[in-house]
Amino acid sequence: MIRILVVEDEDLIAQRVKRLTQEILGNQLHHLAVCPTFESAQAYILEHPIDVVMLDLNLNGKDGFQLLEQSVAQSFQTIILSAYPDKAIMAYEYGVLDFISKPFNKTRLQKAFDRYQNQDYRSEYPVKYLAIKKKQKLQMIATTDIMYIRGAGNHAELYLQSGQVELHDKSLQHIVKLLPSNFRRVHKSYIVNMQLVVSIANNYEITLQNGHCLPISRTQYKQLKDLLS
Amino acid sequence: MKYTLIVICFSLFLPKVTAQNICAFERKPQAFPIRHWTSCTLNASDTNCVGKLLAKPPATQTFQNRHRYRLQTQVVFKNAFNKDLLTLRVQGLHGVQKVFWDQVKLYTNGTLNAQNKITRVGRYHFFVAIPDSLSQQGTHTLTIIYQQLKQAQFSRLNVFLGDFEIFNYHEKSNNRQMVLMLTIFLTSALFFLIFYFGFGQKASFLFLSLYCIFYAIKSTLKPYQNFYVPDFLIPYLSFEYAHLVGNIAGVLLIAFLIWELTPKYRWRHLGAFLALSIASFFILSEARFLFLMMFWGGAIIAYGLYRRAKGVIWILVGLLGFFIFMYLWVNGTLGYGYFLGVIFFIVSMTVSVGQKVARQIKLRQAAMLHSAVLENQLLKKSIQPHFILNSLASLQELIEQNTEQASDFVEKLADEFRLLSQVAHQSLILLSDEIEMCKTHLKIMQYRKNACFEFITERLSGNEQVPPGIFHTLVENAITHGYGVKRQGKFVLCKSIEGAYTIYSFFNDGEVQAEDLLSQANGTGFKYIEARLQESYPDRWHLERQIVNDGWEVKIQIKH
Repeated sequence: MIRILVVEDEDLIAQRVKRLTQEILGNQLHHLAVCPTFESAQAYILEHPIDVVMLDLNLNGKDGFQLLEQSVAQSFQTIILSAYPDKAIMAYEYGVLDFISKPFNKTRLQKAFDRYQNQDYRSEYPVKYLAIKKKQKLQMIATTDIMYIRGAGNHAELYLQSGQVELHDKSLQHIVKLLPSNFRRVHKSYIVNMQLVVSIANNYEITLQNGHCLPISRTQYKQLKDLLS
Repeated sequence: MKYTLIVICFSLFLPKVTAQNICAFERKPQAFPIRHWTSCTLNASDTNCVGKLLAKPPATQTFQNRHRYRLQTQVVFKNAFNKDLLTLRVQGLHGVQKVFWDQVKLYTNGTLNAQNKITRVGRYHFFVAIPDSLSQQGTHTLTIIYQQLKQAQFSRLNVFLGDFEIFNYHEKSNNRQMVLMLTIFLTSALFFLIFYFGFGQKASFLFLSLYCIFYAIKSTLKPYQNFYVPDFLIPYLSFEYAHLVGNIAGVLLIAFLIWELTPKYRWRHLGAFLALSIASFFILSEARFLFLMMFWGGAIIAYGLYRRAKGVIWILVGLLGFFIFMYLWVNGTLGYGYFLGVIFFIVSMTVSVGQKVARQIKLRQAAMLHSAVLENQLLKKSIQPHFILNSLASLQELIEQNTEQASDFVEKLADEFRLLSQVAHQSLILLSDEIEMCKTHLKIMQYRKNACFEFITERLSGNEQVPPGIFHTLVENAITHGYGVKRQGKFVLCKSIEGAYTIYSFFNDGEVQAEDLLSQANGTGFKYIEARLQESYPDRWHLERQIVNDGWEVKIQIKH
C-alpha cells in the first residue's frame, strides 16, 4: 500500500497525476493527497506518514533547489515532476528516485512507480549527497565520505570515514536504490562501500580499511568472495 | 571688455604712414614696395589736385572718418629702364582710385559721376603700366587720388613698382593657391552636406556646410579677384558683397557652435546674433565684425567647456588655430594666414564632426543591439520552456479528459504567441494590444490553475503607447508568485496624470509574502521592465513596488 503526496500548484497537472496514479496503482494506492504549496505540503507531512512525494520543482516561482534538499532528507522517496529538464542530473545527485519531465504520459509514470516497487532497482544517476537533518538546517554528506551504512529501523546510520556517525531518515531499502554501484547491501542491516573492503573472512565477516569488521549474509558470501579475488 | 579686445586687435590694423617719400631704384627693377607716402586728405571740392604741390608735407596721418585722400610719393630711378614693362601694382583700397605718374593720368580704377559719387567701385587690386616715355632716369612723382567707400575701413595699402613679369609670376602662384583653397572649402562643404543627409539631418552639419560655401564665395570676392567674372556677376560694390557674405558666413559659424554646444534656446540665441550681425553690417567694418564673431564664438565655446559638451576640445583647437593664423596675417608674417586659419578651423571641425558621427554610429549600433536583446528577452521570457512544457502537460490532461476545452486552450496559447510575435520587435505598442496580451495570458493560466482571474482597466483610452510586455510581465510575475493557494484573482490597471507625470498603477490581490518583495525585484521580469522603460523613456521613469491592502501594487511613473 502506497501513500502518495503530490505537491503541484497547477490544478490540471495535479489532477492528471492523481488520475494516472490511481489508474496505475489501483488497489495498491492507499491514499493520495495534493498540496499546491510547499508550506502546505510541509504541514501535511508532519501529520501524515507518506511513502512517495511527487514534487514540482518550480512552485510559485520559488527556487526548486531548497524544496529538493528538504524533500530528499525525509524518510520517503521523492519523484520530481518538472518542466526544467536541465535540472535532472542535479536532482538525481541529491537523491531523488526519479525525475519526470513535463509533459508526461502514463507509461512514464508507471516506470517511476516500478522503480519504487522493484527491490533490485539501482539508479542510473547515483546520488552524490545524502541530506542529514540537523537541529537548524540540512547538512549534505558526500557519498564518497561514507564507509558503510547500518540500518536502524526506519532510519539509517551513516558511518563516515572521519569516524563520525550521522543519522539519515530513509530506510536501507530506500537508500540502496539511490546509491552508486560500489555500495552493496551485504547484510540485512548493512550497506558497504566496497572500495574500502580489505578482506573477507570465513566467519562471514568483511574487514574494512580502518579495521572495522562487518557481518555479511550467507547468500552474499560467495559473490563477495569472487568479487574481491 | 569686449571693446578693449577689439581695440587691441585693431591697433594692429592702423596704417603706418610716414613723411618719408623717396624711393630709390637701382638699375634693374624688382617688385619693390612703396611704403612711404606724403599724403594728405583732400576736400570734396579738390578735383584738380594733381600736380598741386603741397607747401608742407603733412606728418603721419590716420585716415579715420576721411573719405578722400591724395597720396603722393617721389620715386627716383637712378638708371633708365628700357627693356621691361614697368608696372605698378596697387592693392588694398576700397573705392575709386586715379593713378597719376608725373602728373599724367594713367588709370582710373572704378567710376565716379560728376558729383564725385562712386558709381562703380574699382577692383581691389589692379595693375597700371607706365609708358617708356615716363620711365626715364631721374625723379618721378606717383600720385593716387583715392575716393574711399564710406563703409570701407582703410586697412593696408600696398603699392609695388616692378617688372610685369615678376607680377605675372606672383599672380599665377596666387591663382594656384586660390584654387587650392576653393577646393578645400567646397570639398569640406560637400563633406559636411553628406554628413547632414547621411546622419540624421543634424542642423549643425548643415550650418557648417553652408559656412564653407559662403567662405568659398567670399574668397572669390575678396581680396584677390583673380578670376574673370562677368560684370553683372561681380557687382560693382563687390566690397559690400564680400562684407555681406562674410557676415552671413559668420552667422552660420555661430549657428554651428550654438547647435553643437548649447542645449537650449538655440533659435532665440541665433536670432539675437543675427540681429547683431545685420546691425553690424551697417555700423561695423567687416574686420570688426569678424572679431565680434570670434568673441561670441569664444563665449559659446567657454560655455561648452563648462558643460563638458562633446567635441568642444576640437572646436576650441580649431578656433585658437584660426586666431593664431589671423594674428600672423594681421601682423604681416604670414601672407595667407587668414585663409590658412579658416582651413585649419575647417579641418578641426571635420575631425570634431567625424568623431561625433563615429560616436553616433556606435551609439546607434548599441541601441539597435539593445533593442534586439530586449526583443529576444521578451520572446524568450514568454516562450520559456517551462511555460510551454507546463502548458503542454495541462493540454495533455485536457485532451484526455475534456477535448472541447483542449481546443479552446490551444487557441488561447496561439493567441498569446501571435500577439507576442507581433509586438516584440517594436519599442512602443498600443496599450490596448498589451492589455489583450495580459488577458490572453490570464485565460491560459485560468485553465492551468483551474482558477478565475479578472482583469480590470480604469481610465485608459487604449491609445496610449507603452513598451511591449511590461504589464504582461507584471501579470506573469503576479500569477507565479501570488496565486499558490488562491484560485481567484483580480488585476487592476489604471492610469492617472499628475502634472508632468503619467502614472500607471497595476494592482493584484495575490498572496503577500514580504520575502518576495526583494527576490522579485531582482528577478529577470523586473530587469526586463526596467530595461524597456529606460529604452523608451531614458531617465524619465520611476518604478515602485509595494505591498498594499490585500495585495501588490506596482507604480510606473513616466515624465512627459
